[in-house]
Amino acid sequence: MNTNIRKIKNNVAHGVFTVGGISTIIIIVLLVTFLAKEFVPLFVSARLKETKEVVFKPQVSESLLFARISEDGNMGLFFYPSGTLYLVNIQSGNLLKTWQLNVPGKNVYFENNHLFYAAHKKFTAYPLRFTTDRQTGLETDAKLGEPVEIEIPFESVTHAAVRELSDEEITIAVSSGDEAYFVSLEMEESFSGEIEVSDEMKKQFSVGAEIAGLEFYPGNLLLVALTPGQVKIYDRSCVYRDLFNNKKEIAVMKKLFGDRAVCIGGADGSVTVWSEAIRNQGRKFFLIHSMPSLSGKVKGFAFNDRDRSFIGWDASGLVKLYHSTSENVRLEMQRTAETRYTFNSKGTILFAYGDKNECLHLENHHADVTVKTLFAKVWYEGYPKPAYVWQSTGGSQDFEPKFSLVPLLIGTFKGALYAMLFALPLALCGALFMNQFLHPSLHQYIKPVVEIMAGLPSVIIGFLAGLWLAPVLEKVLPSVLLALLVIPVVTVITGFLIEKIFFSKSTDTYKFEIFIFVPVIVVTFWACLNCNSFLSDWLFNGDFKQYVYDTLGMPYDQRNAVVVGFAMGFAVIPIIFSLVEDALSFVPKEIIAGSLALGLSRWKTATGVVLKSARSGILSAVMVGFGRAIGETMIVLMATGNTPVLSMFPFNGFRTLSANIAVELPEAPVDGSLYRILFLSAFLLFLFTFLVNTLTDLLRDYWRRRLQG
Amino acid sequence: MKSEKVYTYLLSTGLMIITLMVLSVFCIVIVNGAPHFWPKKVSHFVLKDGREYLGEIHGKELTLDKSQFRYRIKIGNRDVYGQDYVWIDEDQIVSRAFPHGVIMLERMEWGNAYGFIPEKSITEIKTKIKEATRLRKRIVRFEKKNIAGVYADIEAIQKKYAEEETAYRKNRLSELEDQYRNNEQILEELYIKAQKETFRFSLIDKTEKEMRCFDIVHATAVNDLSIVRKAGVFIYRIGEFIFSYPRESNTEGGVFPALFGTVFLVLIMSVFVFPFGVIAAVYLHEYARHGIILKLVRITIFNLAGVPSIVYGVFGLGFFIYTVGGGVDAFFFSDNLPSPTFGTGGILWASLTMAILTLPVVVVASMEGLKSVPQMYRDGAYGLAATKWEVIKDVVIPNAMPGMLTGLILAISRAAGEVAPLMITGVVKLALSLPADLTAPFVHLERKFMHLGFHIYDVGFQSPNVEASRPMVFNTTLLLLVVVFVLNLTAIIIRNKLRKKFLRSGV
Repeated sequence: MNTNIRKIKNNVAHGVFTVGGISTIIIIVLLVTFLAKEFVPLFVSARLKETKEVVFKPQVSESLLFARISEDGNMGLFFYPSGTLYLVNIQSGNLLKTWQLNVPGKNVYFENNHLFYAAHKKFTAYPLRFTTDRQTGLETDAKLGEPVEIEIPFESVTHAAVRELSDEEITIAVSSGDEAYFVSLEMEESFSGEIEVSDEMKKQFSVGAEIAGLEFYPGNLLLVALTPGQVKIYDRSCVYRDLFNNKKEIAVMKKLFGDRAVCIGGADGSVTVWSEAIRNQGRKFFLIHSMPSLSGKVKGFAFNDRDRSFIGWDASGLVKLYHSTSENVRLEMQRTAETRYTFNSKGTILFAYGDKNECLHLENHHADVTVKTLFAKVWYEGYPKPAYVWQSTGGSQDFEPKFSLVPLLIGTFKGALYAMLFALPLALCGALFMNQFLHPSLHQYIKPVVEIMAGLPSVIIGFLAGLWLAPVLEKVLPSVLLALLVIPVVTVITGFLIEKIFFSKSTDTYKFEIFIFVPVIVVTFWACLNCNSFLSDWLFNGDFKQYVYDTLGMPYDQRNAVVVGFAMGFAVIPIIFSLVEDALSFVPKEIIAGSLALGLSRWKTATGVVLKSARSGILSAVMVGFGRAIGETMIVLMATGNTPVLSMFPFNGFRTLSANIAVELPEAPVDGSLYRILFLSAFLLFLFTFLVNTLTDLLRDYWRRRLQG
Repeated sequence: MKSEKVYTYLLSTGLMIITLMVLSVFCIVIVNGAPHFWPKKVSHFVLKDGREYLGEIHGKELTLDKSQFRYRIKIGNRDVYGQDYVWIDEDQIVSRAFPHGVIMLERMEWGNAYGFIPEKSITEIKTKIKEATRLRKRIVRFEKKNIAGVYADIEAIQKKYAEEETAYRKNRLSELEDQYRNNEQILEELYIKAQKETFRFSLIDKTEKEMRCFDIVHATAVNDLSIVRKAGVFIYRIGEFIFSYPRESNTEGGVFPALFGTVFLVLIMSVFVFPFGVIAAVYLHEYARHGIILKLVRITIFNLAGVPSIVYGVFGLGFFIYTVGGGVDAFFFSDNLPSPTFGTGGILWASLTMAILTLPVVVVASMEGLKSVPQMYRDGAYGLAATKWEVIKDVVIPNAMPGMLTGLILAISRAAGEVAPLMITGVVKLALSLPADLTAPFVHLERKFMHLGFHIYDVGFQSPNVEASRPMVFNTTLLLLVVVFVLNLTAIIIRNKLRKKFLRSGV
């Protein structure tokens, strides 16, 4: 009975411990897989979720002239050549509204929320838009507004562009052949409620070649694309400058989302994106992206209002879903040559119309992120050349996110490098001295100091670095650098004097007498600080910061890499110190004894034999220290300005991967591109430190086994 | 030979510099923080141009042209002067004195005020201030219990019987609403009462200001304090710093919520990490079959200690808050959606994140402890026909306990100082309610919390008035330093004892 209970207890305990132990291990696996799960969707290509054919109940024999669909894809505005405009529920096919317009059959356009057409030297534009329900915020209806009519000098138009500057001001440009007409209208509501239209400005001009496209550009400028491959920009007084001339026949020109770049489709199927930037004091258009080509003459582009994804289609019926920043083809489809396309404003649904009307539901997440945008130079809109930039959010909705991890990676390594420059000599010297020359009875005083140092929270180190050290260092940096040079010299001289004049030790280990160097160091340091003003007058014309700016061309930031070097160096010293000390004490005593017995001095033994046989242990200590410096967050967050600049300059700030996560993650929308990129950077940090630690572990293991024979 | 010895002196410099740096960190924090508690004398400056200043000297430095010194004076009275500090060049000073009867007022808002009160009314005003303090506490309690409490009841009833319009619900609701209105009236009366008591406070430029007793925390005649009284004030202020709530967007008052949050976080973390860590260690050391997989697992766990803490924070945010917390919300708190209950940062998720972060520390230390138990103890117990569980329970774990405790203390000290993961899992700059209090269910694991480390970061770097908050941050740092230092020292002492025992056992 009793034995049975004991047996059961034993088995239960076995079970509990096994389950507990294994679940702990599972947590760790979970950690890795979860991080991976969150960032993998970044690299998934777009796909066509479902294709729904739209059947329109009141049968119309004509084919659609143009169509627009609402944000949620439930409604469509369909316009037929007979002049009928239908508002249709796409799900059920039911007709919601009908408008009958008296318009010519062809040459009716819909752009910028305006339906417009030209006939008999008259140009008419109807504002037409989906209206949102106030309570739900969903688009539930559509509204056709009062038309604006103007006289134009052409019988018919081939291209037109309409831009509403405000409720009262509207600009219209039309073209016919190689002639363009540019009107600016002001509308005023009179007392009687009638709208009076007054044309403030009108200009007609010839551009010299067949016009391939018209677009308004910020600053009330007009972009005119000419078929022979030229784009001109006209201002209000119709003075123009050439933007570019690539001598390739232009078929289509459209403005990209955000209004800062234009998309040009060539007759040869080429798709290029151009953007304006300042280089050498002049504004110029640059070819920023050459997208993979379509196969035939480009027939059209469709954009959405959320991101820089767009659709391009050509005469052969080939359709490609592009993303401009990443120069990526997200999806390819083949439809008939007559098909045209329109996006809903979210970019989730593509409506294809022509011989067949289809709703194509797209899954096109994180189009702005590819391996290329993360790690290679990208030519962003408004930039004069390709660059590595991290700028995740901007002031406006149409901001182009810039997700290059390179400045952050460089920042991470920069911080770690400066930290190691400071920590490595100190930790190595300290550990070697303690292990080889300090009397073992003193170890019990030194070790706790190092352990306390290791236990100091990084937030405290970072706080002192940012709020105390940085302002102090700003004033006395030249003398601190001097002290770093002078202190070793002074100690060597003092040591020499002690040996020569006072006493010569018979043993090679040191006890409390070594603390005589504490006042020596303190006094030297103090002396160096005192000659700061002399030093900066003598070497740096009185102002070190100004001197840095004048000679190196970069401003001195108060919170810079040197401050981080000191602070993060302080944080990694105890790690390197204890691992090096460990490695040194693992060197078998027989080797040391043998070396000494062969007549080598203590110094020669320490540097030649002990250091040499412990070198892989030391290497692994350095790597672990480096790993810690790579992942340190609070210190860099507080001791640098956190600006993601790409430079190794010692006197400016930087941003590391880890600080970037801490700064941006609280504000990142869940499951958005930024959110996933931050998970990716966490994963990279994890992978790097984990691999480094594992490698060093194996290295240490191998080395110990070899040392023990 | 001799020159070689000189180089060993060079090596020793490394060790000395390291030691000096650790010492100087402690010194900097103490020197910049602690004097803040000591009451400073208030000086009266008369300048050449006739201006007069009354304030504490807070610094002295060379002017930009390096010809003379200038003083930084904390003149207070921010509501009148618009700024806390002024700089005075030394050659501008005509006279400087420590006048008697200067009163320093610590106020709820607008920082300190320096000035004079007619001598005969001082005691009277002081008792009035004490009364006002009592009234303030009463109002806070009243607001919490009778206003917020009743409001919560109303909300609960509205939610509970939302579908059906029963008589009970109607009665109860109107009853509660009456109560609420009543209480609001009482509160208003209390506030009116609070406005009443005022006194005249004259500033150095002879202007007078009407001060409400209700806005005053302390009134101290700083220049007339004896050394004993000063020491008393010093100790009182330290107590106030530790045990009272912050004022003026964390730049004044105390850090109690942050200290409480830190301790509470660490406690919850320990509840999770200690059993799991010990179980994992026992499994790995006693149960698991030795082989290549075990070795890999061991290396993995050991190396997790080197993974940056922010990575755990990211995991905590994605897994605990959005996945688990979101799930909990969808199941149990769906009425409150879309405002999240557990689907947002809170002390539970932060503690769990910290538990995973410190798990390797506990596992490694516990395995050290288990290793130090000699095999012969186990063999002896087996020889007495004990089962494996009995051996572990009665022989192995008691002997390995010091090692396990060391692990726990190290874990606690690491968690107390770690801030980065908390920043994304629920720490806030100001939490009005503590994660544990006297309203049911007493422990509120979903609440956001304050933390000493984050307090340092926030007040030191995000505060609008960095200069004024400097002493506060240094003292918070000092407090955190002391907490972590004591924890670490305990761990070191326990471990050293353990080592000695281990050496003595002769194995």
